Amino acid sequence: MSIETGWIDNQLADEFPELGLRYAIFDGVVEPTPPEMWNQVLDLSTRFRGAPAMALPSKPAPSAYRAFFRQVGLDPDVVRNPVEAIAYDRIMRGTFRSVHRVADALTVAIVETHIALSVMDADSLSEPLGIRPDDEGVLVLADADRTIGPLFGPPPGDVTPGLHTRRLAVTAVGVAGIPGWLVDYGLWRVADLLGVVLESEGETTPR
Amino acid sequence: MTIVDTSVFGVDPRALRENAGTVAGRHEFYEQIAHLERELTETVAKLEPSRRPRPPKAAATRPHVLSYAELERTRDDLTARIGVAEDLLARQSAGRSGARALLKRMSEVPADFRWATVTTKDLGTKECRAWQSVPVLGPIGMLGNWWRIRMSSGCP
Repeated sequence: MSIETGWIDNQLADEFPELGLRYAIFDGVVEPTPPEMWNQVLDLSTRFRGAPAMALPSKPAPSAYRAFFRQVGLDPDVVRNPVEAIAYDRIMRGTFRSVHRVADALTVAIVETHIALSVMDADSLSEPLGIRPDDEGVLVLADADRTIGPLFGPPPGDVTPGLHTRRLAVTAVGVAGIPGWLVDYGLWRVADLLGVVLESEGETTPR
Repeated sequence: MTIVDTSVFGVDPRALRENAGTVAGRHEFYEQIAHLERELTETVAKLEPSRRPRPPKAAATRPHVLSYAELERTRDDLTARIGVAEDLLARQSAGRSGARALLKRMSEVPADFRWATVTTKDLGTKECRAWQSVPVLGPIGMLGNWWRIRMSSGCP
């Protein structure tokens, strides 16, 4: 199991040369969160309080995503990048939301690495994955056959991991200002939390 | 509103406008926007949470490649928001200077500042402490105009 480089639409690559997609596909099922991971989520929740959440936008990776959001017409204070969205939810709810093992692994990896990660049901997708504008010019995550959903948006229902899921596709979006190794580390961390060891093949920069 | 400002990266906006159709021209815009976004984030981070400006109510949009007009609008909006944040920061600094000056004068002549209170929040420091001008021995101090500064013991 290795980390793959997603394709980027040519015009988009000219526009944003450092925009990149890395992804990994591996076996994984949705099941209740085991106690050790639940404890990890609770521990992270205890350590992640108001001050770290307030300081988050100034950190290198969230700051890079904020800049990219502005460049593509999103207000990062309205449409939050994944780590800021999780932080906001943590502050509002008083704890991180625990859903199931896969979602919790994603939460832990995002909070630890600050990388924009998402997870989907791999059997609902056809490789390779990539980023392109759709017919309306909206930047979307796409597979070989179809549009999956808006970039940085939650995956649509038909690709969300569920009880029928047997293989997972974890994606990481890299933008200018975020080193390629950190993007790969985000993927590696999700896999590690789910008990999978990933190998990084080819380039480590997210293009 | 279009803000013509040659100070941003020393780029002439007229040259930007001419190059706007080119990839290089758009990249200059992207750099400006990234620079301004970082500046806004850093300025807002210096503000106390209660003083931070609320983001304008904007409809959630979807990510797309911006047109020249949208790039210009984004840049101008960021510049305006930095201006607002800097004003708030200046007011915050003035408030803190005033609180420091008040604490100094209170310490020198407590009787002139009866019951006045200065907190670490007013001073912009992280501890939780308060200084208050109070009468020594309660009513006796009030009758004798004998006042002192009482400092709270810190965080609970």
